[in-house]
Amino acid sequence: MKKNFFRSFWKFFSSINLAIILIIVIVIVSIIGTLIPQQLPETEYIHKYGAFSKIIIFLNLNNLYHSFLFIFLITFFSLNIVVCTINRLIPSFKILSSSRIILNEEEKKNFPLKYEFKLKGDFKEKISKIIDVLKKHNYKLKSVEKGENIYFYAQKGILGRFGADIVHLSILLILIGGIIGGIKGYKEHVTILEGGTIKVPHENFYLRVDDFTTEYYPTGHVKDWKSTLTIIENGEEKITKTIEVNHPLTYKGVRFYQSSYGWDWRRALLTINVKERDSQNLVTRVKVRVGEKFSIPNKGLDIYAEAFVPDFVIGEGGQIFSRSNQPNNPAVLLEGRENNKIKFHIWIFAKFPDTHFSSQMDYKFELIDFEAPEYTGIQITKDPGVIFVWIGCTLVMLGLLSSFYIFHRRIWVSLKKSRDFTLVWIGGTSKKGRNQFEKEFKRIVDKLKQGE
Amino acid sequence: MSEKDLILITFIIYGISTILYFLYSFKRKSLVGRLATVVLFIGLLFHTISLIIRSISAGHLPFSNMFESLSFLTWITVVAYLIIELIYKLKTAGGFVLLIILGLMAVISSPLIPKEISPLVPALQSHWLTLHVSVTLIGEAFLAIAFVTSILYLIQERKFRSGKKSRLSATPEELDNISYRCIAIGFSIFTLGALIFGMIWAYQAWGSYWSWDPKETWTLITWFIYALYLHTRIVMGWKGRRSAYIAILGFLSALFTYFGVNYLISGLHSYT
Repeated sequence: MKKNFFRSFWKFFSSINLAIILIIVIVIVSIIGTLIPQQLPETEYIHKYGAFSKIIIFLNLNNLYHSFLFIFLITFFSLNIVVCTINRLIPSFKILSSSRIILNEEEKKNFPLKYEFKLKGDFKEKISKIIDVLKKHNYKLKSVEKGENIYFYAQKGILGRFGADIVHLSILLILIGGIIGGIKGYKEHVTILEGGTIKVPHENFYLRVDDFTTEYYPTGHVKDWKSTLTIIENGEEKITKTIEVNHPLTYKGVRFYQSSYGWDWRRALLTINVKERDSQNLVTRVKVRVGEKFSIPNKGLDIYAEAFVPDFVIGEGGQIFSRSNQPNNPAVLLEGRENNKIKFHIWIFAKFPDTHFSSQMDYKFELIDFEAPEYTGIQITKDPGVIFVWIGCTLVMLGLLSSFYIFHRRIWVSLKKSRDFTLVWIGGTSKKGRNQFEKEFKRIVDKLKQGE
Repeated sequence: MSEKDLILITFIIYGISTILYFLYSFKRKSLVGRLATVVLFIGLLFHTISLIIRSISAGHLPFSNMFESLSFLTWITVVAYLIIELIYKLKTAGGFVLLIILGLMAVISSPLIPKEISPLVPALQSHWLTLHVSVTLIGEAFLAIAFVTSILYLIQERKFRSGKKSRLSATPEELDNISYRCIAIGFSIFTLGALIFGMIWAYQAWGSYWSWDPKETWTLITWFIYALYLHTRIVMGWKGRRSAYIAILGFLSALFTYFGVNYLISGLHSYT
């Protein structure tokens, strides 16, 4: 019973038809995954797909590549690869280990390429000639002497026989690397102000940002973001490096990537002009931090900078929020109080100074300038599986090239000594690339016959 | 001469070469055939100069946007075709390969593709840009030729089956074999450039070698289709028509990965 189960299991997973079907199904499922945006909040699917969103979420199509369905397919695919590879390797090793040097007549008959001819001259000389010619063609030789006769077995390009197996096993190695990364690795995103220090998540050391700069092209486009990072472990500065996009810092297998940047607007320093309403004369220019207040001299009026929004928009429900962290439409909420009584509550826009110019106020406020501490966004990742992925990738290439361009070629030669001549039998086979082998085989035979 | 003029001249010379290749296919005058190849070489020369001028004025190799990469793809496809023609003495496919080249060059010249030199955004400032894009496109050039020879196979095979005499000189068997050879080369190079170099660069720039970004996924889909071609052919002994269909499908998938994903699906790769 147990044995039967194992046998049918093996048979099922060794089928090439299964491999073909799995590839087709994985392709179709993957295509679906590229058509449905992945890993969005559920509300976005409801908004976009309406009633279908239930099906999408139920089938996990919104996180397809990590869904049960996909993992199931990849598992089957992996089992398929393992079983097929074992099934391929066993006969390959048998061929390599059991290749006899001396062939019997029955075996000789079956060769697709074979010649038999007589050579005159010294027997010893013929032996060294054969060794010479085959070695010149890069064959590795084995020989056996039996009585008066000598037998050779020559082969080259063994790697070609294993090319496909190397590719298949490397794919498994890459998958294993992915699994290790998934289990033992992590990916975190932190934002740190210039001069700030954080404890690196999952690790026992600290990260300090010494400097952060944005470089621009003359056209105004961003050229690069650079953060100078220092790793501190046990109170000691271990390493300092300036990272930029494409050039991360690595410390103890943890990698630090420049991934974003921004401003901490909650601590913005604002410059505000206060003007007289009618004459537009400048009363005063103040610098105020968000959350703090300023007063207009001799008037007993306190003005609080309540909030600052870099990209002011009003949502459908009338709520105010920032569309982005970029200063596209900066606005400050000012609250005026006289003797602790609220007198006004207005939004002032840097780009639209005349909005909210209320007649109830004695003053006009203008948001002239704003600056905020810049922070840098650092992605911190650790992936202990990545080394297997790189080894796997290298081996995939090695396997592909050997399977396409290296052919396992084998040649058998027997020399029989007669009174005044040597009887030569030579036969050869090649796995793939028969035409080229035929040409090489003929050249070898011609060289052996040379001088006769 | 500006880069725009050079592209136009290249386009015209390729056009003349296309006509010569077709003339050769139908008349089989060896002089015409040789002339077609020579003219193609001259066109390639102008094309090369235009790419060099672009690289110098942009300050980087021509891989940073759709215009530059397409110009390089057409260039490398001509090179790949000339190599295949030299090895397999295959002039029949020339005209058809060039039709695709002309089509792509028409796309390049159209206003759909912006031609301005734009400074490289931070993510693209890497040597991996050059390696990833150039090697991928070299692979795709060979896959493009397999696409053409596979279509020609289907045409020829139909003619042979119905007993009609074909004007094209290559036999179906030759075309089938050349398709396989081109896919062996193209698939290997594509694996290295698109998948492996892409993964290494992604690891350098984004912190993970695989993110299931639509372009990555489509690259894998294309890779799987060619894997299907190889397995059905080598293990199951499929040849000829069915193989040709898979080769055609594979290249269409490569084209979709290249264009379709950029214009239809958004993702991390939306640089162009």
